[in-house]
Amino acid sequence: MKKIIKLEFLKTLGYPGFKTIIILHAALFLLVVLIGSRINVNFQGVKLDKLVSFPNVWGTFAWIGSWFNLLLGILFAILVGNEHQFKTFRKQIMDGVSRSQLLYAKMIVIAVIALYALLLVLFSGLIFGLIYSSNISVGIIFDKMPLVLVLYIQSFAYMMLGMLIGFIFRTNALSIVMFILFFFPGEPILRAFFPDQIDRFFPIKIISNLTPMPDFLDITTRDMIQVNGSSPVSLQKMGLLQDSLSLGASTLVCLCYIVIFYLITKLIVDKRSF
Amino acid sequence: MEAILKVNSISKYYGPQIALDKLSFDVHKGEVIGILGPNGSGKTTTLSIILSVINSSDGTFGWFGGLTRESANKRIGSLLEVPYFYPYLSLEKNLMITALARGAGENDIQRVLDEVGLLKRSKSPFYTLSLGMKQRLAIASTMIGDPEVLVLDEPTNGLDPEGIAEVREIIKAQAAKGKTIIMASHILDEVEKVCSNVIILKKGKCIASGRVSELLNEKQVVLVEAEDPEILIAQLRQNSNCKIIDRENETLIIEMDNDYSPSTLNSWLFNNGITLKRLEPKRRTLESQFLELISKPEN
Repeated sequence: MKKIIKLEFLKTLGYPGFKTIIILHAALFLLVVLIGSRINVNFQGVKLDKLVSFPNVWGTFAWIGSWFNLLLGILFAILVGNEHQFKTFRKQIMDGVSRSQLLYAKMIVIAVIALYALLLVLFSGLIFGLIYSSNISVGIIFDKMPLVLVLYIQSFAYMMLGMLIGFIFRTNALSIVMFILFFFPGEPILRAFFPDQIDRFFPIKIISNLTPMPDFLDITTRDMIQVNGSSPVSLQKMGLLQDSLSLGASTLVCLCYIVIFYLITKLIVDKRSF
Repeated sequence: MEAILKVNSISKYYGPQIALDKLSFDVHKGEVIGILGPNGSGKTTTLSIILSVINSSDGTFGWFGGLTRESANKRIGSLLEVPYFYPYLSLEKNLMITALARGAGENDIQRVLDEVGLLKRSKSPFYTLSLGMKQRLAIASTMIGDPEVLVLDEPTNGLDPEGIAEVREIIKAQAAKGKTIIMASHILDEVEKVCSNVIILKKGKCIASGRVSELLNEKQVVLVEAEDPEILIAQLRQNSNCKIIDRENETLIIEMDNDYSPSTLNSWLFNNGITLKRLEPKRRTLESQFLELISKPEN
């Protein structure tokens, strides 16, 4: 299996599109957080710094990082589409790679890329947190860090979905289009037919809810509210943030979806004539 | 001798379309098998099934006495239809992938590239190669790890005459080393020169198989000419030991039973008042035999 993993990294890292998408992913994320952290709002008591200081930086950066996780899902749809287009899955089977090994090797690459996505957000969150926080302690650094750690599971899930779509549709163009359409407006339209208790369990909903939008209003105005002693306001209380499952429950359901994506992909790979 | 490959009644259907119909054959160590047939006869389908690339609809096959498919494929160097490589990777890296897949050493790469004349292009991306060069790379990849079996589908596809001759020499050299080779080809001359056994497919069915020498010796062919071709034709029709199979102007091409010699034919004709001005035994080629078999109506 070691040789198969080495083979997988050789072909993935050698693909120019892979390097382009990873660089784009990192560049876009860093640009957004850099520009976002420099926005000045001249409104007394509103401190945008709070969003990029400990412990809130984790939630903010996890949410921003999640926007670009879609790129990683598309990347995997492309990688699988390429293998079908070049018929290299066929070549590897002819050379003695089992169908299971084909799938496991791809999943190991997914695990490594998800780790990269996590480390990107972790390190940039750490740096911004150290720059913008006034009171730093070990406790405050690690408070709310799990919000970033679930980014790993989210990236993994998006890439598993991208891989599944790549195996279903086989061509790059169709896979990319179907992946995007499934994300929006496909699943939202489908969810509209179901009550809230069921629609919250749909796959994209669950995966994206791992990194919910932070309550900006609450975070940036907390000091002002305390000074003035008036009632706290928040997007949550204004009903602008949706009620969703707890982070723990969402993570568990997301892991189930990862297993489902794997099982469907395995069924396709085992039965397919390459 | 135990068979290296046993194919037992494999069939493949694509809906109502029958691509292969209960094909069975064995391959023994050291044999060089040619699989012949017109386009759509099931040659590539047969090779795809025995390489586990596609699943058969029915029937079974087994390599090396029952190894798993992956273990078996590591001992087989194969080329199916067209070269399958990553266009953005160099020749060296593409062959590295083959070596890793087969569990073979990477030090074989330079050797096989040299054998097919692509060593100088080892760092070039695959997409920069001409069709002929791509085919050579595909042949090179079949030799990575020095596998004991080669399965080749149209190995000379896209090659110029020089390339075809080189590939023929490579195959002959591999056969001389005792490798087992299964080769699908349209170039009957190649099959006749290289193969020990042949299987002829038509519309997914095996219509003939056996040693090449036996297939060629089934009937002898003779060219005859006389002053009056019409009288000659009328006389030959009375002889049950021969059959007129073609006519080119005044020359008749006749097929005779193996135990009926040309001199016997000449004597018989002379005794019936016909003096031949030409009597020429013609070596039956695989091509003429193949074309005759293919053109026979199905029973």
